[in-house]
Amino acid sequence: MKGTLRGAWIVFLKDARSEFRTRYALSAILLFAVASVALAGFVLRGAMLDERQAAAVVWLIVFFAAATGLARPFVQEAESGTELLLRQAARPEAVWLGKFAFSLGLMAAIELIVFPLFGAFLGVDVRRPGWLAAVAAAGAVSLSGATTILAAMVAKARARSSVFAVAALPVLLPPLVLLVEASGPAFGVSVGAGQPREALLAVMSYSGILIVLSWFLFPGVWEE
Amino acid sequence: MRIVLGIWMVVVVILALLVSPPLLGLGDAGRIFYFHVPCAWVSFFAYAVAAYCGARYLLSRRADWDCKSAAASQIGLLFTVLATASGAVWAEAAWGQWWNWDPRETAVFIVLLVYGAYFALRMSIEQPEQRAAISAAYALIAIVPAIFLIYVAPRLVESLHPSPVLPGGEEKGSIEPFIRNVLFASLAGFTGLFVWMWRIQTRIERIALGKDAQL
Repeated sequence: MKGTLRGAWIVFLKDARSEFRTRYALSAILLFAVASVALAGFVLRGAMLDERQAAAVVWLIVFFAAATGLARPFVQEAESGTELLLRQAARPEAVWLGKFAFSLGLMAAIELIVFPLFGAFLGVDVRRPGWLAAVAAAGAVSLSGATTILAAMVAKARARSSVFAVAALPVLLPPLVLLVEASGPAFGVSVGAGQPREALLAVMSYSGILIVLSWFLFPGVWEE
Repeated sequence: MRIVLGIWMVVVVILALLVSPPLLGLGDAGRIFYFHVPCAWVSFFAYAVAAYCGARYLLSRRADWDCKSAAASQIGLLFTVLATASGAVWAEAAWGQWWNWDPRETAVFIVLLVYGAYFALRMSIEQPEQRAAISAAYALIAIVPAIFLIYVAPRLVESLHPSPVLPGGEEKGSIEPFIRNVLFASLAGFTGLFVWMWRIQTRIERIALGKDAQL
């Protein structure tokens, strides 16, 4: 286990350094996120979004920003021809964990940009920042956990970017719907007691199952 | 098998359309219940079979399991389309609209997208071993949203859809014995139909794989 964690840390550092040099994924994601929020603000100018609509719009922006960049860690290996080298250098579990940690970092960056910008551009008040932070953290784990193995699969396909969005959206729709439901109290929706908490627990269970399944399936996908 | 299945299905159709009393307060339109519920059942059963065969492929790397998994997914997709279409007919008769964004209707539609994505991914990979391994892994991943959407999500939010009438449903025992027996006969018939179609589709997949290998 110690060896896997060390390997994962090295994979994570490699990806972070590579990203720091090129800034490909981060700049694409952040530009997309800023442009989407600005577009939403422009299109919806003057419109009074209720809290549920606000939660739905912000999570859709987060999802599509994630879809533009979360395939990058594996697609980059395929495009630069370093897949075989990485397969020789690290165990599959370490690769999965390192790439998952890197995706989690990208998701955190997306959320740190999108949520404050969304509040500022659309004039949406966050009533319970602590709850929103908890939901955002669950969302980041959920989206990056599910997309790590999907990105590894898509890296072997043709037309990778479009296939990634097609493959990821239906798998991520259940947590997205639940995240909208769970975000309600953060934006002030008065819902029945316990409902957002149930939704958050459901997101965590769903993500937990997908992450465990991905952990076991990844070697079969990666080594093929 | 084909002859027994054919006779069985003819008997089910006669019982459902001519013998059974009108049900669910929907008059004759309610008889679609005998076809809608089995379509939904077979679609989920097919996805479970696809996941099982996918797991067997990953464990054994025998191409035959990939053929079986892909064949089950294809038939599952077909029955999901039929369940969605027959559900829309039912919705029109019961609620006056073909589509209501009811959680259960929407859940089945998302399952349709999940398995549509399975084929988009499968068709985009050229190398047969890679295609098989990735399809098998995706079939196993896809069963998670399928279970969640079909069994968990409709219980988390309010739905117009009647409660499940199959074992495990809340309204077990609330259905007339004759109607229940016809429904179970239909479920058995549709399951047999799935097995028959699955065997044919698996043979087609094997032939396609042979052609792939020759190219």
